[in-house]
Amino acid sequence: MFEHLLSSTGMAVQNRCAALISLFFAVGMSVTFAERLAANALYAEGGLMSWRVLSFDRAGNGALFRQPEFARLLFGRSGASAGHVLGLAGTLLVALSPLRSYPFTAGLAMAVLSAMLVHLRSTYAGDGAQQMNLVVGVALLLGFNPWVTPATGAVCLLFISAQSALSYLASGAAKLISPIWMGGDALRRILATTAFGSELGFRLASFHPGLTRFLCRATVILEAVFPLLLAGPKWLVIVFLAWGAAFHLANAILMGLNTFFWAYLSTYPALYFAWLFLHPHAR
Amino acid sequence: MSSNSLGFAGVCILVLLGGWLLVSVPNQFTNRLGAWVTRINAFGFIPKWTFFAPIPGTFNYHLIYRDLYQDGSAMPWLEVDWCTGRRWFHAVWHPRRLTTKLIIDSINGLGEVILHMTREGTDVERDPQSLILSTPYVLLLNLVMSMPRQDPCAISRQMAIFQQDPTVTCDAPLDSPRIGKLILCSSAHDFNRPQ
Repeated sequence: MFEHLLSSTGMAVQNRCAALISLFFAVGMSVTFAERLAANALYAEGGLMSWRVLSFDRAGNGALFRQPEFARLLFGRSGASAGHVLGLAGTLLVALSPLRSYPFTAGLAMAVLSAMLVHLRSTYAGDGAQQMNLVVGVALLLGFNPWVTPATGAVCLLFISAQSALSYLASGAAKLISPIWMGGDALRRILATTAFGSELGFRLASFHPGLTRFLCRATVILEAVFPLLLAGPKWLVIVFLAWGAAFHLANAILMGLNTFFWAYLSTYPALYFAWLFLHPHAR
Repeated sequence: MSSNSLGFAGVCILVLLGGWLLVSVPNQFTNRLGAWVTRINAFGFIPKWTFFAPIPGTFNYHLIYRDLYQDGSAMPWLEVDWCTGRRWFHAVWHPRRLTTKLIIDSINGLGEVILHMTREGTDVERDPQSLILSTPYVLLLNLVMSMPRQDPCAISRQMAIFQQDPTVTCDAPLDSPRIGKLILCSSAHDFNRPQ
């Protein structure tokens, strides 16, 4: 069933998509690991995210956490920092190495291991970008290493696209049943908060309440129907992906969700690949 | 092995990723299946994609504390400055979001613990033990206890959290439920006892 994607032209598309995904993934993960290194004091003994406190949440979560000395070594300040340095080095290798090469695979393995350690340490302070980075990292590692066939690469790209489509659908559907979102007031009220809003965002949202209500409902509907891009013509794919990129850019500027931009952008070449998969005669 | 076939490793990968995708679907729901996935998903490897929905965070949370003396008298309340305002460079570089997200997660988690305790029939005010031993409470207490002492003679510290609707204007009626709500007012925690 992958024949049209595994012809020489199809392979070139697959490689271009995977290379773009790797690049966006590497940028996003570098920012994530560098930010965690900059916020290193949080992991210190007595810090906000010290292992002394977070281990409280991990009691009974498996054998790893029943070895306090080992767990402290792995998840204490030094262990956490070492993990983030490992991840940062891994993303650099990913960015600089050709697809399916040994350094590329080693870099991905380092980045994925480090991302998994972040999850194992705690789910507190995690976000959707972190989850999407893990999805993309694991899929790239499994599909673009020297030991698997190109068909496996195609499976992994389809997996990334499915998770991306599911994320928009789930996010949109959950908002469709929400009175505050469908009432059109959610955007203005989120942008008014200090945690996820901004003065600029709130001012823009308050400038024309009618337009803001329209944008709020439009966001919900566009998220919910986002997976339809896979069934539509090529121009629809371009429109949806352009809207998605602008949406995440606005979220980065107005809400400070900087890593979401890279995490979601990294899934767009996979969505395009999935569209090609569903439209074998398209050029 | 032809490039068109998956091979054994490819089939294993297909099964693994297919399973991961399959189990991700119910995690988007709050029904029994979703609750089951949440229970087995202690490390967050199964993604939940319902961002800011169905109920988005539309409140500002104020974390305050005060130090208490032996005779029961108290210092004035002080606020923990945990959330700085938005800056233009947060669009590319935003390490502070970890602190912000941790505290928002803890406050939301605290709400869930209180809701769970209420559903179980526990009177949270009379029997706060489960609340005090919950991770979100410990995380917030750790933050509050790390603030400098107001007076070296003080023996304990009390914390409180209240939420405020940032869109409510000064002319809103004082009895408006959106103007502010106390979420938690803790008992006193001794400085000299391990927290």
